[in-house]
Amino acid sequence: MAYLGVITTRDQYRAALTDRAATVAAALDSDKVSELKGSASDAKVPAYHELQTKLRLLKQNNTDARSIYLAVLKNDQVYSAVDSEVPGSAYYLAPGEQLMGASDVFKSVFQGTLPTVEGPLNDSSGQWVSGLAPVVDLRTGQAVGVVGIDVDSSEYNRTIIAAAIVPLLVTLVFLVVLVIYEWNRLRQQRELRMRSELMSIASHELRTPITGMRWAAESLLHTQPEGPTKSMAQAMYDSVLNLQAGTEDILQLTRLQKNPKMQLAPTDLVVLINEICNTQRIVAGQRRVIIKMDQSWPTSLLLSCDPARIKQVFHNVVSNAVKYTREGTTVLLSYKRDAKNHSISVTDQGIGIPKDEQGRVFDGFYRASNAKASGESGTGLGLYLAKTIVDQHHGKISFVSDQNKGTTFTVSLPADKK
Amino acid sequence: MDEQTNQTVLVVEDEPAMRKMLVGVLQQAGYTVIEAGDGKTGLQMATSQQPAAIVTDNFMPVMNGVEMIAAIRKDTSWGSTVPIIVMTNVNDMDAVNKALQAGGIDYLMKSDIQLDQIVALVKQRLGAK
Repeated sequence: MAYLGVITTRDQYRAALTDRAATVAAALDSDKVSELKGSASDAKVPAYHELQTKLRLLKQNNTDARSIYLAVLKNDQVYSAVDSEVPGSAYYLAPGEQLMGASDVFKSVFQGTLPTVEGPLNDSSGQWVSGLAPVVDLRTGQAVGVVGIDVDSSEYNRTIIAAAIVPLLVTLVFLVVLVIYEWNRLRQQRELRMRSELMSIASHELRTPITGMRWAAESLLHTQPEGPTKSMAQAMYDSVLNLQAGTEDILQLTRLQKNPKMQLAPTDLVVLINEICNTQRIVAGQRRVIIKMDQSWPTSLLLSCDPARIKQVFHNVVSNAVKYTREGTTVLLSYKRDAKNHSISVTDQGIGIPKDEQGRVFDGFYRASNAKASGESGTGLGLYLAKTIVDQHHGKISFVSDQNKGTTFTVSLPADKK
Repeated sequence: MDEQTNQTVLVVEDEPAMRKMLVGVLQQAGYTVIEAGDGKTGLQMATSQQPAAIVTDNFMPVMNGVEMIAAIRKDTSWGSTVPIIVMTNVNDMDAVNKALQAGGIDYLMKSDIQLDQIVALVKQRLGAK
């Protein structure tokens, strides 16, 4: 892209210089130019001073030029006729002075009568570029002289370099910004991944000893005869269950807080709910509770959501239902679809939620009085976390409860927009 | 209460305290129990001693549960029919699904299950054979 800038600008520069030379050439009277022969005696020709004055005037419009001169062809060699400079100055060409460095390009301007640019060329005074244009006798169509505008190359170089540099700089800045952005994004991704791995490891590290303690406490409990040691074992077992529930809640909460952004993915809710039911079945079996998905469910149900978090929601709701439903009863999961939402309901036949406490159910660390009394372990974070996640998904979680019949929790999630 | 069975059960579990408890309850139930602390040792013991059932953890060093199960199932005679019960501690359905696809026939969440339920499941799987 910058290379193109160089070419365009160089061409533009050369074209402009060509125009400038042509403008000067057009400003000169070809008859007057014809009077000059390219010898020292030209200085005595009246036209000489007129042309010189004109050239000096024109030089004022070409301040970057070293000189503007007129050359004529004599015996197939190029000779200076008149120029804009003062005798004694650096670039002065005396009339009749042979331009030894005149190249074939220069000579061709006499023949072809087309303006052109020559250079950059080197000489004793440095590097320069020439715009050359013929002064044409309109009657004969022949060139009677060639105007040259010599511009210092450094000016030329400066212009094209500046023009090349700008797009180059822009590209560079853009690339640097892009690289920084990408690097940052990858670093953030890596950090997120590390954090989630750390979370998994932390979860594992906490769950393992707690499970171990629970198993041991449970074994002890079963093998102790009635007496003070058995009560101690019972106390230990109950404590461990509470510890387990609390740890799970804190792990959930930490996971949510550490990764506040949702990671949406197309998820089959039917598969997800099935997995929850399967995991809960064994625990349910301990109290002969049956978990069932009724016939309202489709074979599959795709929804864009954060699958890990939605799983957490239903894990919390279903495990609550399993915990608080009466022994031997059924926890029923049903599905309903309306124009905007998918609604999933979990119904238990349990102890219900007292009317005066229903307003606080979704508060963090809140457990209803009858839940606490039931002896079941729990920290009260489950529904708070569920609501946080459902809210994040722009859904709704609600319940109806009758204290001696049971409770139905309904989670509704907005359907994907087609 | 516990029937006398002369069947061998292999327990593969990297956490020593838990392994001890699992071995203990299964021995109490009358089984001969062999144990391994990682998937590689578990595979070696499985192929050499061909137990009647395997109870294994999923998340283990050296070789994890999924790899071990896949390797056991490669054996077309004994290896393809032995009941393998997978235990997991982490709420990672992805890992569980992989274990079941590799050939595990049951999975249990350690944090939700009681020890005697594990024994009951082993009995069920062995009785049903």
